[in-house]
Amino acid sequence: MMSLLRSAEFGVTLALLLVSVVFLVDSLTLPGGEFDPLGPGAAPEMVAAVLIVLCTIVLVRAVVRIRKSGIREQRDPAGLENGTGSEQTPRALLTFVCLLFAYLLAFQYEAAHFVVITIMFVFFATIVLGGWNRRSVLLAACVSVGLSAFLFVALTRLFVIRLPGAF
Amino acid sequence: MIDGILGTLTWFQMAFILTGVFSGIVVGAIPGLTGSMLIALTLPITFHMSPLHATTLLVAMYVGSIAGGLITATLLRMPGSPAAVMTTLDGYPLAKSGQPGRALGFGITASFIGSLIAWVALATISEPLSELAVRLTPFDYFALVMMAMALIASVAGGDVIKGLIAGFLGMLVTFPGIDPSGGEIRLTFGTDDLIGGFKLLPVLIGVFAVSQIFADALDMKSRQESVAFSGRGMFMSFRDLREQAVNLVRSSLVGTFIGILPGVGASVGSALAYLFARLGSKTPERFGRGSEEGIVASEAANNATVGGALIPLISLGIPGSVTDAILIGALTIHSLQPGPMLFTTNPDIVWNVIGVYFVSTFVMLGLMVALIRLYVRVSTIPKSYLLPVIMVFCVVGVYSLNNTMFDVWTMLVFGVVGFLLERAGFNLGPFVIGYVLAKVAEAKLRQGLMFTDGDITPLFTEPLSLGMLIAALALLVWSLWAERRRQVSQTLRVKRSES
Repeated sequence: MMSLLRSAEFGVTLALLLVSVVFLVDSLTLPGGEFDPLGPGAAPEMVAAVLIVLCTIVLVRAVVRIRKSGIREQRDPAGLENGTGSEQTPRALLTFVCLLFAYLLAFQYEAAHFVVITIMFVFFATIVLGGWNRRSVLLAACVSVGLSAFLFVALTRLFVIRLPGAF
Repeated sequence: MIDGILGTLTWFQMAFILTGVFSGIVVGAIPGLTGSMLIALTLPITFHMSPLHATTLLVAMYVGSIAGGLITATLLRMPGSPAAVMTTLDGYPLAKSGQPGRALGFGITASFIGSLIAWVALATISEPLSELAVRLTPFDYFALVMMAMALIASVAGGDVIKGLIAGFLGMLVTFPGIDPSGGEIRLTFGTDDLIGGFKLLPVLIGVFAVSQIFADALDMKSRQESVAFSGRGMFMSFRDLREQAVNLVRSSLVGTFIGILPGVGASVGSALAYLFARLGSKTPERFGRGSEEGIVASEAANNATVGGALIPLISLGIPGSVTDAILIGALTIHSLQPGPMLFTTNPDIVWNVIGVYFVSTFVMLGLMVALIRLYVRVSTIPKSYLLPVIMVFCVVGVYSLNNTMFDVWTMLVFGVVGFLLERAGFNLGPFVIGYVLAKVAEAKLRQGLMFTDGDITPLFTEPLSLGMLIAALALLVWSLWAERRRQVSQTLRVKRSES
């Protein structure tokens, strides 16, 4: 069971199956059409039903395959981890996603001005992805300040676009 | 047509073409960044432009982004765009053998000729095809969309069933919001923000840009091989051209044809042309070891798919590739309805697209040759600086759509969805095509049923719709059968090697 849950293919397909079921159940509650024979619920019902069938096929296939050949192949069905000679850095990705989440929350609650929030996000994200040394810190500082100031001036003055964050 | 071309020769239009092609080449040359990403990110900026200028900029970017992939494929052994994967096989070995200029020169010339041949098809086929498409009934159109879905799930690469799942998932996410036919609110799950549905831009930027940023962030330490650039031998001689003439024309035609097929795209076009070139070559053993024929086949075909893919976009409103799906979104944002009526309602836009494609091909040739050293430098900028900057552009671009953070969160959610789907081996191409085509399919089916008082039988009795449904079914059965055969032979090989 644990092997199945660790499989990317199995987990994602199971999630898709659940989403399809939720959509199907909700679309079944929709009223019939007044002006056309199908009504608003028919198309979502059809698509969700097809998705449920297809997801079930993939899930059954995944179970059979895992039982036959073990988890190794299933953990990476697209072969993403093989043959590129690259080192995977999930920690960098996770930290980057956390930073992004914080960046968006700061905008959501208008915690500071756009320029300030963006400088902090770009600076820390660059360090997280590129590594910590004197040169990279200096470059990250230049990029973050330059980009934030440029974006603010260009977008608000030239394109008259409203930016997120407090003003 | 002449007006379309002449219309692009104003200073303003030329500025858009130059900007578009240049930025397209730069993005195409940077591994991990794609033309779809660039075009999706540029959409918010085009809100402030006229539809004519917006389409000019976006089509020019499309042309540049496919061509740009050649540079890193040849010098870094890393395809800048997925379309340039086949170029890597011969471009890099030829460059490594001391002839980087020759490898790039063959690629650039092939890109140029491939684009020109596809342009001839675009300029001559689009109008008659749209005249034919006007006569399609709603059921025919519905069957056409189903055929497109079957085609992209079958040919886009990977598992057919997973391709179908991605396509239908793309369809499913278009349903929340106001029902376009009856006006009822559906599938919003009590969330007011969902009444407007998942908007095109947050979904596209999420699926293409944000998920790609996550994937790149996971692969920060990949090592790059590289060859120093030298421009020696960059221009093809007449003898080279004569030797490659058949290969050039054949690969361009293959690319154009593959481009016309809905959703298939440049990677398949270049792979198929490469295969044909190898089969027809007098020196097939040189393929994969620095064969000029391989570079020419791959580059002529992948650039030709751009012109080919614009044909169904203009005449049928069906995207020929993922980038075309985004272009359809761009046209819709500018209140233009892609499809057969576009020739009647907005002929200026259609001929402008065709004209811009033609002019962009020449601009691409000039910019590739003139600024190649610059692209080589740009393509080596570390991703640690690029990714946060692109992320900020994504956030600002999506926020500017409606000045609401809901769209930005939607983008993030779809970024995570796209990333997870790719990790689990689902192709994102069918997702986007399904997303773009769902509304057309639903509207046409309901329209058809209204015309026939709820009778569905014409869908299965009219020759055209029946033919397309049979073709869709045959495609699916064939690809499932081919996949099964591949799996069986793979199992046999493993068993044989074990014993």
